[in-house]
Amino acid sequence: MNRLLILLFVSLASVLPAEMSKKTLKAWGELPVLHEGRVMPLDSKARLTLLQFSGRGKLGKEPAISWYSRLLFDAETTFDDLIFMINHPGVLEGMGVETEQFVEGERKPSTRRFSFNHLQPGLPKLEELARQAFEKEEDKRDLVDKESLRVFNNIDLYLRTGSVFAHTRPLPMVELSDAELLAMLELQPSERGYSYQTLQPRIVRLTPVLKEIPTQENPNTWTELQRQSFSLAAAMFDFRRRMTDQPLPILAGPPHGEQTWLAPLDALHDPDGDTELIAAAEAISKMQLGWNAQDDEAMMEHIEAVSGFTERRLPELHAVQMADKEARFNRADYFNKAKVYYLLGFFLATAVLFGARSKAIYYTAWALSSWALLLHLTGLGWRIAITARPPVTNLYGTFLFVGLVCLVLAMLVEAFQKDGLGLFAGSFVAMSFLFVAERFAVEGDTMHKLQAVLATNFWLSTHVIAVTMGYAGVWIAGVFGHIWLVQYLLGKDSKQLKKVQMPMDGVLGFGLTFAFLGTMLGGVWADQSWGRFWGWDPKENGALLIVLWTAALYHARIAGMIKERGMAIGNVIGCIVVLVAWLGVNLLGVGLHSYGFTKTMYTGFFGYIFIESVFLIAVVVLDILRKRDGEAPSAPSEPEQTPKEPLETPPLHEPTGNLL
Amino acid sequence: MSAFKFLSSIKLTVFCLLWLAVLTVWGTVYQVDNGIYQAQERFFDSIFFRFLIFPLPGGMLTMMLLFFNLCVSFFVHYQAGWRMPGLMLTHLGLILLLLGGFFTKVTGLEASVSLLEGEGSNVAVSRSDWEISVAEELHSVREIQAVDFSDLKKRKRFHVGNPDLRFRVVELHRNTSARGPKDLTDEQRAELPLSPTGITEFVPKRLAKEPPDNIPGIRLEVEGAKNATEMVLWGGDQQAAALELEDGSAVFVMLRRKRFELPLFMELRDFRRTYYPGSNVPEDYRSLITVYQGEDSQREVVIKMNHPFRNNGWTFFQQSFAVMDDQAEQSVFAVTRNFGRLIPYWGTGVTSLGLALHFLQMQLMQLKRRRKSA
Repeated sequence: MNRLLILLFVSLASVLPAEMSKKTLKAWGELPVLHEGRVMPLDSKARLTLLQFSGRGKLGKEPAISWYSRLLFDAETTFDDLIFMINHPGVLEGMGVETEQFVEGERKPSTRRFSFNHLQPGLPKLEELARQAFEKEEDKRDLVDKESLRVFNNIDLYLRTGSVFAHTRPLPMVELSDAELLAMLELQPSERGYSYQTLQPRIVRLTPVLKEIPTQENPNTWTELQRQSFSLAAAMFDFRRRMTDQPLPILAGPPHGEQTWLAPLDALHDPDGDTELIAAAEAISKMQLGWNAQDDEAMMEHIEAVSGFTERRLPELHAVQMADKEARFNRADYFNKAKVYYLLGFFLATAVLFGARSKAIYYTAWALSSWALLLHLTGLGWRIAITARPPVTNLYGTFLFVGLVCLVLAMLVEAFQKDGLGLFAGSFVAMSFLFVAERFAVEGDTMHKLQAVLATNFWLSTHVIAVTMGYAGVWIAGVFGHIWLVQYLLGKDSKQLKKVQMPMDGVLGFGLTFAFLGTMLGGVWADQSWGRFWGWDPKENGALLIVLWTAALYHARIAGMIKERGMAIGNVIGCIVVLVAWLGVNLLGVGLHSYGFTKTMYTGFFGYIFIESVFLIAVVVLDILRKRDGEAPSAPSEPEQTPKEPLETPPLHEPTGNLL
Repeated sequence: MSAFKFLSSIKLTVFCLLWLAVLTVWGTVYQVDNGIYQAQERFFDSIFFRFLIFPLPGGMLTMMLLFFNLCVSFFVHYQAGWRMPGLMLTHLGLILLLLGGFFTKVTGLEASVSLLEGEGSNVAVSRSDWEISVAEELHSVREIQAVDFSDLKKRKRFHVGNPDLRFRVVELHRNTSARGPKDLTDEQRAELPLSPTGITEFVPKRLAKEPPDNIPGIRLEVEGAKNATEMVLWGGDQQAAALELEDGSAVFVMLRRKRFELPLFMELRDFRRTYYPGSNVPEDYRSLITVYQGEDSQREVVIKMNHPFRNNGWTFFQQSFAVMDDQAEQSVFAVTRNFGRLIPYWGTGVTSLGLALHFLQMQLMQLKRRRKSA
């Protein structure tokens, strides 16, 4: 670990506790900044940084932007924050620090998240662990190696972030007491010292002194002026060398040529002497002074100056225009709010499904689910507007979208049946998928830029949308399948079972139609991009599997090979098939679509399959036991004379009257 | 049960669909260790494949069965089913899709062209298919003829190029490394089979995950040459073996990646790649090409991601790029020729329309029933 960086970071942090007013913090969070190729508001960058460190988008109740501002301007106040998530105790052991951190006021010690102060004594050892891990080939790194590298990178980023405004703070280890030197630099004596920003324009005045230094001779023979001038020049040079690659490219570079974004210090020293850029760099650098002086008004003024500069410089850039809206979208937190309403709607729908007769409960369930749907839809709408892309561009987006389509399908069912079934299934699925999406949000920017081959709105809004709508149809049919089986085991009569079976068959048809269309449109996209319609890529195979399974179910039903119970079981298996297509193929790590699989997903994926398998085994066993005990099965008694080989009849329509 | 009954059975449909699902899962998992090409060959392009000692139906056979099942069922089951136009269209579209797949499999061609900036070519090179080429100087014009490596098998006799020259396959490997003795005298070398680089034997290897990584080798008996009765060719050799014929002329034999002549000459003028600012995420790759076709026809074309260039049944795609040691940029284009490429498009459209129609029809029927019962 760069020790001087730590020193700069630790010793130069302001000692004054300060914060911004809500209004200023809001404006500060709306400033556009570049992060991994995407222009986003500072608010999003702050969230992503905190997520990367701690796996959480907030620090307790403190918004990420507030914590990020403290890190930028007053890093010392973040030293005790539990922000560094460490997933393997081997890293802590390797660092020689305690594997538990006791926190004042907390009953239990923290075992997953640690503060900078807790980790600091172990940083040299962490650097060594990370170096060893780095030298290994990627596939030979064990869990401790990977985690050491991750934690090391996070701490490095933390230190670099805390040093972004170091040029506005007094330089450490610089002695400036010689009167002649101060006079040359036109500086007044100061106990606090002098910042790089103050010294940098004056340093050129030392050139004659520096040229006359007899560098061949013992430094003890140098004059005080020479000694201090030399150490100042060395410190300045060293500071500039270390302050490269700063993680806050917040100032737009020249408007011509390739788009560039510069950190404040780099912008201050723009080699082209871009006066407007330098003025903006000075304005943002003064934020530190405003923070130190707790001068909210001054800070707001500087923020407005930078904001105005960016808008003038890149007036056409969509991301700049959307930066304030994205910050508002972050603050609105639509998806988390939707989750709460889904949950409430789900509880009431459950009551309705299990016999609550009150109209008030029923309509409240409708209202809550509809309100949640509206929030969900608004959130998706904002994502579309911000990214200027269709709703699904990554795995995170698929969960948001599939959840929404499931809900819409279920609400359509509800609109016809009015028995709580659709509300129950829809709110449950939409809520669950929002929770799953949240897990994916931890992985990084959910609105990231797309690779060249994927960056086509036409195919994203046709193939991807169609195939995910197919997932939704088959999934919600699977949910109805679960409900059918549970009701069947509970001994519900055939009329009640029919109420589940009819929408189950209907949404499965929807799923088949869109899964097929999406899969084939994927082929057309592949043909347009790579010249081959079908290549048996794992993701293609996954989508094909949904089509094959669904088509097999329908045909087996038509051929009389399965009845309602078989169809319900088949639909439950359909959920597993969808999951395999959706996530499972990414697990294989081969093919064109192998992206975004994590350990959490791995556990969730196999956990889900295990639970479904247990459910299905339990259904079969319980059914056998019921029949053995002589209890009459209550499955709707389809005509027993189902044709063995439906050759002479045209059974492809209405074998049961409810095919689709 | 008669063959007709068997082929029109819906149970056969169910079996085919489920078996295809099994093959899809199996073939997908198989790709992890063996690569996509071997998975295709074993599970999807095969009539039968062996599992332990059991022969199992492969994807090709299953899809052929499904195709015949669809065709026969179409006439058996739908004669009274005109009231269900959606179903008819769906199955008609599926027939088209399967036909299109088969047509592409049989007639499609895939190759690539790699060009440095300023370089041009009218030849595409296959990434995974090989050929034995025989080049001959005829009236100061070099004439090249070739035979597909995939058409050859052990003990097969063939001739290519000069009619006096005949070959017989002695040994053949789809993926092999090669070796030969070092420090031989000319006399000792004359005793060995002819080889451009002194190879005498092959060390066969497992097929690679990626087909382009397979390097084949072949040992041939030669009739009609003065300087050799046996020759060894390896795909890794960059040189041709020279055979002297009885009439004193020479031919040059080489095992090389299969070549295809393009209907145009293409020259790479400029290759550009852009990344999103401050990141290494590629935003765009594009190549500016000058296309020469015919005597005076010349035009500029931009080929970029998702924007291929099509010409007379051939399609050119921006596939990848390479940066040479001297920082020169090379653009790689995938080249395909598939005259039936629109058949799957039609199949997709017709099937999707059929499914949508049927879905809507069923929902309307259900609504009517609800109203009646209400």
